[in-house]
Amino acid sequence: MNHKQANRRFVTVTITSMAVFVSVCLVLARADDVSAVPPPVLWIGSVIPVAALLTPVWAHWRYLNEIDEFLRSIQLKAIFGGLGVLLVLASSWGFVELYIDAPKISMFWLNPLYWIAYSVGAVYFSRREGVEA
Amino acid sequence: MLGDKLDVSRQSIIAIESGRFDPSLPLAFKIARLLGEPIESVFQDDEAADP
Repeated sequence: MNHKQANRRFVTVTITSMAVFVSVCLVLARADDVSAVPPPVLWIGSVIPVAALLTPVWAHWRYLNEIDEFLRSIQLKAIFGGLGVLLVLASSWGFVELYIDAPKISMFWLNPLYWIAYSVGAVYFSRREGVEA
Repeated sequence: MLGDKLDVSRQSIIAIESGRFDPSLPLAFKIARLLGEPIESVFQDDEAADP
């Protein structure tokens, strides 16, 4: 498999799992309003989004093992950038919540925040190194 | 295509040729073997060149 095919597969799996995640979250939010659903079902249903979140992590790991070392170095820079942005923003907002009494933000926003920061980094470093999308 | 023979992307070859990326030792040996040249003649040691 060449890097374009590997990239296409990674993007497809990631977008699909994110769509599943959003869909399941919407269903769960609606189900939570309807008290007819037994709590054990809601508990089990709460685990399904976790699987949807782990899927792009696994897909990314597989992608990293499929591409060559140069493209892998670009991916690692993007991952590092995404983690850096996530750590700085999460920590900064934590201090703001603590000292300035800012509104609290749920932890599950960390996941999409990381992927957005990683994506920006991936596009930036790819373009800088002349890698086509 | 050089990239196909080495099982790396075209962008990797371009980055190596332009000096923006240093290949790993296994890849460097692969390149030298493909070109039929000793590795020292394919890759320059910058530190040895500038005393």
